[in-house]
Amino acid sequence: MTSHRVGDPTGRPLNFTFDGKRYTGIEGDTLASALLANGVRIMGRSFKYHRPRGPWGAWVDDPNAIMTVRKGGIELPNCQATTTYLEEGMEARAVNAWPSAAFDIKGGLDLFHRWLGAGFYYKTFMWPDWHLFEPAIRKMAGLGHVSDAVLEGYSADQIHDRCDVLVIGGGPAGLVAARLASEAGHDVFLVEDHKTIGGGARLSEKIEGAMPDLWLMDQAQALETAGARVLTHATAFGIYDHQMVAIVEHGRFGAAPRLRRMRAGRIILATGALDRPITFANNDRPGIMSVTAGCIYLAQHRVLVGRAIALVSNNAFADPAAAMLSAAGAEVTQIDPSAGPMSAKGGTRMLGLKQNGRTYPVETILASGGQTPLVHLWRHAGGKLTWCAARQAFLPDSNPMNVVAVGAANGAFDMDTALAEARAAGKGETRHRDEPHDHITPLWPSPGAKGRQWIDFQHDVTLKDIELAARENYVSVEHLKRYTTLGMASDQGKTSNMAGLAAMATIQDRPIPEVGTTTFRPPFVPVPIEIYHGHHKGQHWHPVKRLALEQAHRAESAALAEYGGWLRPAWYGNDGMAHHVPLEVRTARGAAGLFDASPLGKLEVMGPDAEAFVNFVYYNTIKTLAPGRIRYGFMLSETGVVLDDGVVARMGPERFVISCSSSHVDSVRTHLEAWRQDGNDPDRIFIHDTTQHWATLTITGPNARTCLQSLALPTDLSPEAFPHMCVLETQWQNTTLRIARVSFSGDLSFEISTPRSKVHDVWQSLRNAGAQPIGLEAMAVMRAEKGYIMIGKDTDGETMPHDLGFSGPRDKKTGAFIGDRSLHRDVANDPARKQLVGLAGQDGQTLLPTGAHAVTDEATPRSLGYVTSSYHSPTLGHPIALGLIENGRARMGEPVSIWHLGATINAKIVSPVFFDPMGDRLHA
Amino acid sequence: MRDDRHRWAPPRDRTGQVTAPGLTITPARVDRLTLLSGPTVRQQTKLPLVEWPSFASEDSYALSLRRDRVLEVNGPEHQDGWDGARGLAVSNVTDGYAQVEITGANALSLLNRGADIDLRTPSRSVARLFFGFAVFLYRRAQEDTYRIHVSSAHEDAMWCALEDAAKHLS
Repeated sequence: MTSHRVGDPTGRPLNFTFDGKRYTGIEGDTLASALLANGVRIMGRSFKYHRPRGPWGAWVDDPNAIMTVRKGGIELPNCQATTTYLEEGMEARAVNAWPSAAFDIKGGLDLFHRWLGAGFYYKTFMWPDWHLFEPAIRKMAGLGHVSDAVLEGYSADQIHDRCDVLVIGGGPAGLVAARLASEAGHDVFLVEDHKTIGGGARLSEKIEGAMPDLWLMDQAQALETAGARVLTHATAFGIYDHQMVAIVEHGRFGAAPRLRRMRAGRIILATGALDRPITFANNDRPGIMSVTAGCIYLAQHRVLVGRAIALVSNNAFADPAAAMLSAAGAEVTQIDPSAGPMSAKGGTRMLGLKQNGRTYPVETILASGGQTPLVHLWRHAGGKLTWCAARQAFLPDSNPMNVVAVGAANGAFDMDTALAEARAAGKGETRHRDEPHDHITPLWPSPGAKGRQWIDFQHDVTLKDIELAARENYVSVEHLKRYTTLGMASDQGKTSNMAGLAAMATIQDRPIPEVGTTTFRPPFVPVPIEIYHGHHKGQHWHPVKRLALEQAHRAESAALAEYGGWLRPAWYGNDGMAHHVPLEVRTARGAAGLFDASPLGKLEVMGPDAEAFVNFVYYNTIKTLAPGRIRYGFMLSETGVVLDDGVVARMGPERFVISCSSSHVDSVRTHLEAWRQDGNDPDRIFIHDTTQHWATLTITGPNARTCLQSLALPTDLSPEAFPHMCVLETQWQNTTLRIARVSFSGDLSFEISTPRSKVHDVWQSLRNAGAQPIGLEAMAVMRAEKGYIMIGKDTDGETMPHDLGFSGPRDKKTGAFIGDRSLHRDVANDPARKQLVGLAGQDGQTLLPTGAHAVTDEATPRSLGYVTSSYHSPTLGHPIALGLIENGRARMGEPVSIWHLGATINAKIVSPVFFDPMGDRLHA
Repeated sequence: MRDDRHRWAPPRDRTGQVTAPGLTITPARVDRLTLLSGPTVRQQTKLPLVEWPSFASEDSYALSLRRDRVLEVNGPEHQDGWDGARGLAVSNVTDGYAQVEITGANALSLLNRGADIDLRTPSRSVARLFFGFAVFLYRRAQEDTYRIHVSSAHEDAMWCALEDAAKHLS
């Protein structure tokens, strides 16, 4: 056994399995440390070649040990073994390997590596058709697979929070900064991603003259005394606008994490730095890991990662690391990586490290090609980077507002400098970065070098892939990343990006800073999508608006469905739409139908300039509308396209009520508010959205008046006293009713609006008077019979009012209105514009499919337009349809071919008004 | 068209109170809500003006919504329409909103699940986006009591959001 536990384990033993084998770890272990303690090295397989992989890192920087973990019926894919704390009964399985990571049946793919370079499948599977191969490739791609099981109760908590100073990173620099800031009286919040604070403290012999553990206890005590909040086992994974930091709080395995949205006055980044790999032949073999990881496994978990260790490093931590490992019993050989090309010997088992013809018989290689400051969050915050040749690293440059980096994250790799920076940051002082004590020897990939040299362990991106990308002109680092998959997935460039861009720099003979880095984007670590939505999922994602009468509709067996954000009755009854909708139409046409129209907009426009404003926002002339009267009209966008239609009621000289479409209330209100403040005097126009105060019922049909009269209103409802397109307010049972004589069905109709709390009484009274409930589908059929449009269904993003037969205002309206100029452009006057028409099958029996295109009879047919609405009319006994057809109104009576799913239907263009063309019923 | 009625459960009865660790959620009734808009409406209202984070300690008060708009709660009756003499647009919106009251030591913690609620950051407006809903949110009567006005059609959805969030309290 190579790796093993040293000393006597003191924690509680925990049993777990990996790839079906039983092991025991101790409390405080990660899956990776527990497996290493049991001598297990191969913990995963690489993405493409299925090469055996052991852990490179000891925390978030490990790209290799990715596992599916199951416990207590909960299975989570793609868990990093290095960050997953061990729990009793865990069952871990390596992703991308079968039957096990140690013996993977797809390991043979590595034999074909010569043909599987970057972009191979883009080229290889182009012929004859990519889609032939796609299913198999998709099946092989990816890492872990999400379980089909539903995780009951897996719902993320989301919380907003604030603090004066947010310190990210609980290592020595973070602790000192937090301590000083909190002792200065600030509300300090410190977040640390391990379960315990300390970070790299335990890798030091002494800190400020004290033993690390004692020093850490002292800091923790001081923070508590000063009132700082310390959150462990939580990761700040992104910085967003206005210094909002997203923090994921991990819990026990299987519990949904919590998202804390922290808004900080000041942010101190003490996120540390990572060892970066050295690029040499076979540098991906199990048993090769970072120097820091080797030391962390020893210091934190009492696991010695090898007995015979080659320590290959170009920086100052090599000597203390060697001493620490030697003291634990390892035989450490320090090797200068710049002395000559190296290659690792062995396969699944490490046999040695060869350099300059000499093979060192080691079974473990600890490597460090320098330290890479963790500047991800810095970049999220908008901070710039600068290249430091001495450190061979990108460092934080100009500060984003109220964000400062300290310690190793700022290039201060020695403890004294790191703590000095932290003290200054904690006090809110500005401190310039010190020059480094030592210059490290650059250790970058050498293009053309022999052997397979890995740049990205997780995705099997090798130095040859970088060279290939450069030959094929993918020289921008962003193109390089996408062509080769370098730095993608959980790695996010932590270990791979520097080597990749340095290789590209060498290939192009450009300096590294000129090549630059890829964009750093959140999340810094993988987080479950669950934390992004929390409560907002399923029906809570976009909750429906509920009608006041919902219970009454349910009692009438309403088939409720969502229409424009409202839950509304589609029809009533349990025998299906095809059965009930015709019945409802016939009831409404023959007697009286009762329709819940509550979602209709009720936007009040008031003020001295209300008349001029409404006249301006409407295509139609509204200023001539008398109080008590109603007018139908369109609102247009500035491009002249119809935004909404509806009626405007004038309730008084300076008061209008706009009844816009049910699903457009929010957008129309926003439209009006915007124009109110643009070119108008906002102190003379006010818009109140009273839609939800008023519930509205439509009673329609020949018996509508009789039913309404049964309420015994103190109002004359006769056609002479209350003709079509009038509005009045009256009292009923001490409640104001607003009654509008308007119609969407084409029949005699009244819209009765009442305060929401009273609508049940009105509904019940009208039901008692004989009105039968009708749903929205029946209303949709009736309005189509009359040729009335639905915006968005019978119009599209190009429809102008004259396309719908309303050209009067365009030609005659004198006042300015929104969209006016656009209606006079060439495109608006193109004779080939699509116009609203009726359509009917030549045989009089065929129902034209909605969405089907009218086409020319040429050899290569061209679309002339399409069917927008199509129903079987229960009133007329035959199908009807509306459509938008090129120059349609001039083609009345002409035949037209309707094409649908390969079949052609012979139809003709007819008037869109199928029912009551003279309006006798409407005006009854 | 598919019959999807089974997908939506009926809205629950919201007349009772919900308890969670450190708080209770109760429906609150108001007699009248009047929306008033005008360039000088904030000066014209006779009721105590409630902003954030001040308290609404009386039964009748005016919520400051924006520079030219208040919502009078339990205020005097006004005639709907344009009041030319006072330069005010008036709308009775009593039935347009449902009220929810949250009280208890954990009330603020619950609220912070729906929005960034900070007692140290004053605002002239009590209008908020809370759990995605446009609401009016303010403090009522005592320090740890908060009232929310949410549009009536979203009352059930608001209760669902509050109940779900309350499950995370301990």
